Amino acid sequence: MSPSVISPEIQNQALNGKIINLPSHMRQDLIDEPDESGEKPVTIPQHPLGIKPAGNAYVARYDMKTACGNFYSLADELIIQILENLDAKSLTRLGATCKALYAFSTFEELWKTLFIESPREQIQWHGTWRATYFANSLFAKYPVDCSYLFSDALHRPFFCAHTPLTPYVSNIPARNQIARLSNLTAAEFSAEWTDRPFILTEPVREWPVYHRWSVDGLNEQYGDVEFRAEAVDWPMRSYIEYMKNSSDESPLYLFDRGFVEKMKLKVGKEEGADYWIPGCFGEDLFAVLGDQRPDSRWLIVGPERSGSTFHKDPNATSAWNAVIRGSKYWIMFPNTSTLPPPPGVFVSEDQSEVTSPLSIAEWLLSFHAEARRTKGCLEGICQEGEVLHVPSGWWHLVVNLTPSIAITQNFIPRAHLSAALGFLKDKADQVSGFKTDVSDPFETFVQKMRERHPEVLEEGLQELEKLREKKKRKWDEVVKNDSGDSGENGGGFSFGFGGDDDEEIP
Amino acid sequence: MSNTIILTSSDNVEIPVDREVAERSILIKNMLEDVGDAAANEPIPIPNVNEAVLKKVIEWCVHHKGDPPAAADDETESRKRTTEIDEWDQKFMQVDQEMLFEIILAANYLDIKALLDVGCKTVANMIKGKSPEEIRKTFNITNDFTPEEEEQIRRENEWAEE
Repeated sequence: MSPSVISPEIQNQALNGKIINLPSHMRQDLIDEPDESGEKPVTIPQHPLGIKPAGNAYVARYDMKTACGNFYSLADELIIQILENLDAKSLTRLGATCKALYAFSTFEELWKTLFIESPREQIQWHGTWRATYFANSLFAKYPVDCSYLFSDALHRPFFCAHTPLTPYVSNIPARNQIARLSNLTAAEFSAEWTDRPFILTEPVREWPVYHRWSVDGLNEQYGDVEFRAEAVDWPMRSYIEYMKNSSDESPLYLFDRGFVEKMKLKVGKEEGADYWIPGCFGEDLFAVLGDQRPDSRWLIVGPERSGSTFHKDPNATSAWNAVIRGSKYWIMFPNTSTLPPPPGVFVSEDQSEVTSPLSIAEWLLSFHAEARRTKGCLEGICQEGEVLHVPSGWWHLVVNLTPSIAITQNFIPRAHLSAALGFLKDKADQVSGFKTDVSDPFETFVQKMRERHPEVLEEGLQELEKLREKKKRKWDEVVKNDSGDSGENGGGFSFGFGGDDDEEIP
Repeated sequence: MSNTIILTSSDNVEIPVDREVAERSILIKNMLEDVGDAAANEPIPIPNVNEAVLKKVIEWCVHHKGDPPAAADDETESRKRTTEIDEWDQKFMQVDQEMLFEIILAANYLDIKALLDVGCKTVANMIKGKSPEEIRKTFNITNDFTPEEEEQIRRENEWAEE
């Protein structure tokens, strides 16, 4: 642990000259100044501090981290972990000791956490989390040249925040295309489409909010109203400031379940309505729960690159997602117990936890190509004015290609009643969104269904029973044939209950 | 199934350890699971950690043998900011700085989250309350800012100190 002493001479030499001078075939992985040789342009801009990916250290004359003294021996991730324990003042003082530690001390993730932990009355976005923390735009600039700092931990989030999405969302293979239809009737939907994703191009264009809403419009009309964005409640005005001037790897995503009340919207087809449920999705058995139904509709607003990593919708519900402004890329995998979860997604044994530690960009970089080749994969872009159907139990990742406003709603069509019943019964610990006074969601739902739709409930329960029997038989066969050639499991489709796959992120 | 296993340090010293103690290290725990009980009698090489550090880490594991396993959501962000360290751990961490950083590296390599956490908090506490110049002295940091950069950073710090 003997830190090398830097002679100012070497340092100045390093700072003045351009160091990276590699043969062109090696240059692609290095993020540096735009390539002047006229080759394929490098599309990732330079880090505001000049930080470069770790690989560049091998060809550099000088490594700025050596100035960090004893911290030099620690991996960058460990330095960040130490810094997670510091308050704003200590972090700023540490940043005043040397260039490399300045770079670490200005790492945005640290300031995002510090900001979220320090609630305040006025929220004004200043371009970065650090500048917002200090309520001073001065801190959005980085007056230090860290060109000789080579760190994946610090550079990677920046790289991911600027990696172009186009290569991943274009050239969708024909077999992967999500079906596009103009519209469906309720009868057509329940006869053929409850298990298939699709995009409808007509119904949303009839909504008054489709003609009325824009990002700036929301700002004007609801600027002072607070909406939920992940861990924070922000006035719409602050969120839109953030949306227009931020560069997080995983942008803060506005996802509000109380929007109808907050915005005083009228839902339904009567006079003066603002929007209504598209006709084909009209049947929703959770509606019998009335006030006791779990959270079911959300306003979603987010900048380009915001979105949701792979998940299934809560309580085995289906969903529709209507894009009012912007466009969303969807990649989806079917609900089946015979296929593993999508590439790069890991599920705990009881299905209660999904581990996909990656940001959307990181997942696209690492797993998209494999996912696109994987059986069952469906992809599509839901454009402005279109609505997409997510069937019960399907895995999906969604990313906004442009700043976007959308409304989504979860529902239970008759075809998925048994799946929902099974989920509420067998996965009581994973049921989500019910108010706390509903102590037994399964019983409550069954009771309400019995009052309103006894025959439908009976059918649902019978189907649940049948599927369980089938599952049990299958299990017995597998156990019996333990050593034998059980072969491919031909079942293919299964509802998401009793040990299958469902979890609870909306 | 043997209750004692042997770890071999980077400087080739064999150190017998109670298996339960050694399994505070997720790396070792997973290794033992992978090789099965038959192979658990073989010494396990720990090529990244020397004897002095490994003994120190084991000392910590012995003391914390009975700790309940940390819940997954134990590490909520708001909890993290408190840098309180229990008394025994504070004493345990009163070592020279080289050893402190070695313990952090070993805890990271061996995947002992709670020890890594204590190590990081100890370093954080050494930073807190110090001026930049004092921090430089403590950790042997070289000031490599240009005069212009230093001036800008001084302005940032003035604002932050208010």
